[in-house]
Amino acid sequence: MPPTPYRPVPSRRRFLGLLGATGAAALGASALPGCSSSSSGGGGGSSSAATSLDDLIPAYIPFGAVTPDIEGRHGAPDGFTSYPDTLLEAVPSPPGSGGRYTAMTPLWGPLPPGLGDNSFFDHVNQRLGTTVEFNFQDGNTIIDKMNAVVAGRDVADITMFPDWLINLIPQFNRAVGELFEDLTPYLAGDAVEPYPLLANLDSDAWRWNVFNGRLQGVPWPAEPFGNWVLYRRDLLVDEYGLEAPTSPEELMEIGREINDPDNERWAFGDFNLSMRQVFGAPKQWRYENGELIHMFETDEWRASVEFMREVFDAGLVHPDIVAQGDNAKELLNSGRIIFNQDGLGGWNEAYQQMLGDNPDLRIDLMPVFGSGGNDPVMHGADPSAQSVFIRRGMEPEQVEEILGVLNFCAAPFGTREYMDYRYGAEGVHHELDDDGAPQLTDLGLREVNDGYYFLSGRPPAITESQYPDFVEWKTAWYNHAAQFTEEDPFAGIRIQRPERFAAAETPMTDKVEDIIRGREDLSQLDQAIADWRRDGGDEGREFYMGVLQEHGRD
Amino acid sequence: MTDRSDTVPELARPTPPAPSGGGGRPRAARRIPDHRGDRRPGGRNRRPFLARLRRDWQLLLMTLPAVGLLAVFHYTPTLGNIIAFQEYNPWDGLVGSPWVGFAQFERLFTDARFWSAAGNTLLIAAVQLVFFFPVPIALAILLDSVLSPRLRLVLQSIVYMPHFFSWVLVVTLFQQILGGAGLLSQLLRQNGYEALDVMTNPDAFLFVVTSQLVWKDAGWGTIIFLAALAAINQNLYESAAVDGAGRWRRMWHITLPGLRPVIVLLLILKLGDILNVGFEQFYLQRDAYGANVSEVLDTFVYHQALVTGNYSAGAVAGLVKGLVGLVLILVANKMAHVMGENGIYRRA
Repeated sequence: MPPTPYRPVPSRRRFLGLLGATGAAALGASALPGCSSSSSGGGGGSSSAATSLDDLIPAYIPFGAVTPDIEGRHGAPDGFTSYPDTLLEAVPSPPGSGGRYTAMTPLWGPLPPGLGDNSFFDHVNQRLGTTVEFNFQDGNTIIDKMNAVVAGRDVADITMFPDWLINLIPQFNRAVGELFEDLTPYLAGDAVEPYPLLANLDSDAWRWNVFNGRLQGVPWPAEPFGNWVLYRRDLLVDEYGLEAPTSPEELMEIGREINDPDNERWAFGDFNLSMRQVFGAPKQWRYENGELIHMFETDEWRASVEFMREVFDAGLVHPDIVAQGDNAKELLNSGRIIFNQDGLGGWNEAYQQMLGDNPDLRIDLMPVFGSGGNDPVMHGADPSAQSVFIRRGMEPEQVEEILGVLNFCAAPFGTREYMDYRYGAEGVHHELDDDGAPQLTDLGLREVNDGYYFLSGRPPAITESQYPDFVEWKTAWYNHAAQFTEEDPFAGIRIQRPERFAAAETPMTDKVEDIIRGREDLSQLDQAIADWRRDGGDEGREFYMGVLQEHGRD
Repeated sequence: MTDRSDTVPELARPTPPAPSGGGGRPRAARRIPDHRGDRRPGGRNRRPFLARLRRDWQLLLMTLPAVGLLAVFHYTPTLGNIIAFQEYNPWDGLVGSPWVGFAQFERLFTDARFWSAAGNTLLIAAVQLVFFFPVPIALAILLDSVLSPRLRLVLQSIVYMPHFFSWVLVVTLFQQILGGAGLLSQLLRQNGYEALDVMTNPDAFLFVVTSQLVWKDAGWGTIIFLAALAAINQNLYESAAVDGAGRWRRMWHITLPGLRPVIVLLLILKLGDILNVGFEQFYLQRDAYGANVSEVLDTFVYHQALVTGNYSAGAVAGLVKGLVGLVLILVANKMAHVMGENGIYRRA
């Protein structure tokens, strides 16, 4: 295992990887099974009110002690161009009072040695003053496990659910109140003061953890964008002498120029989702003149489909990706494609895997641009990527002790606590390299794991300064892109989508894939949209309209 | 993948085709405990129940583990099918979920995508029946004709092997060789020809999935036929040869009739299983070819029911599938009796 694995929520990728060589990832966030779910009362949806939310969530008190080198604008994450020389002490004394708690989190990778046999656990537990005993679930099969855990009401004292998983568990909004402690009295408003690092978490992420009018979970504030087009900057700029595109037309032109199947090089992977944003389609609903218009019904979305069809027709997409293979990362890393849409974390992953063998490899995010002189509409990610729940029925002191643990695990980059829970003790589990970046020792590689990292969230930050230009390029991209973030009419409202609305999306996305890949004619689109409206689209519109009214946003 | 030929009950072993062999293999005839003496021609008026119990109790005892397994893992879960008549959600459970009668069935039968999936399934099953089913028979006869035992062992191992590969691997292999960026396409391209598109062309779908099945499972399917071939009385071949029968005549008049009971049995089982063409193979390639040609009932259930948490709809589809399979088995079994074969069971 390579050292310093920075993997913010690899869950969804891995989960889909597990499903096999499908194109599910290419269908995008809105089409993921993770976003569809049954809900209470036979197929109806549900939502948590956003207007009253502000009384339920903790007051936002910035933990100002760590100052970034590059400040994020428009909600973009901060950047740190070097590792700190001196670490800040964020939690002066061990918060715990000697309690012992079980924790259940997913884990991607091999199981570490268990408690009692693992000096990393001992080290962090000692820093916590609390013994946390982990029960790891294989992240790749966690859906099966957690469905059973919830249905059997067999949760640990501290249980982490990735956000996509919450949407997959039927009736989760009903389970959550019965299984987990209501954290409102402990954290709402100024009550959060004893936990300054939790108070440092983004309010939208907290709002996302309100279920049924109660604050239930501790969030993991997500980066504002989930995915975008990555490109091989070393090949495009240095080898071909081209500039990154600034319009869809330029993108197409570059694609035609560099596409070279005879030498096993294709221009593109699939970037359907990104093109929707380039052409200005909404992520899901657009609220205009008192009407809700779904993405499928907009001209902008249609333009993106037509563009993608053109891209596929021109043979610019690697055949493996035409066949919905799941090897796009490898194709980009090996230079067999130059542009590919991926999670933004794909960039770090690629560097981590490839820079050793190919030190000249450079990846960058394609600059954000719109079509026809318009601005793009960037689709924001859901504000919280995971939720940590505390088992219901514990003594208030126990809940407070656990919240102290979570507070510790929310320590941001630049603090000693962060290094503790991520990399163990310096000189034992990790050493600092020339860049000041922590490198796990042999012992660390064996014992250190993401358990504590998953017990809480922290403000997202771009910190991997050991990679050349990485922090500078990524923050520059973010600060430019974030200003085009879509204004979602449903921002901050956690919505369980009505069953029929969710179900109608599969045939629709199937049809769109057929059209994009040239198996169906573009003229089929109108019929597909009409079918979608009939089979659940219109029902969804009514439901969402009701949500708007309920929240006084219509 | 639970189908294919690896689950044939012991009862189904072939009995010698002809009584003429004399010293052949009498033990095959004794598979079924000989009850003939116990009953009169009419089949009624057997011995009293207690007497039979006293005689057979060891046999009954031996079936207990199997019965237990069936009860726990088949019959009990079968009761869960009641959710087909509910608007089921796991939180309210089997008892608390609202009852909706046949509403779920109605919804399924009016769903065009269900019929499309059912059509695809039947088409694929039919093609597999015609183009896959005979392959293991031919292969078994070929293997059986290899005289060197060592060579035969090697050949058998080679043809069995793909059965143990997962579908992910099989599909990837095909993709790597036949895909648009695969070995063959690259070779074609370098020599100035068009690349292949069989791995994404919906018209090639049936051909490709059947080829995959043949490659993966034809060898495995030979096992049972090889066993049947071994049970054929060798004296028959000798006497036929003495009478001047050539290779083809011997195959036609001895080998194939010898295989007939097994072929019929497997055919019946296959028919009952006809709506189960498999999940993984189609799930993995669904997006490559598009749902129009590649959505089968199992993937339909997955996308329609599991992904959206609509378990009742899935149970309905499963129930319909099971009923169709049951009817097909009964009909096929009846036909087997008409043709004078044992089929999978015969009323005592």
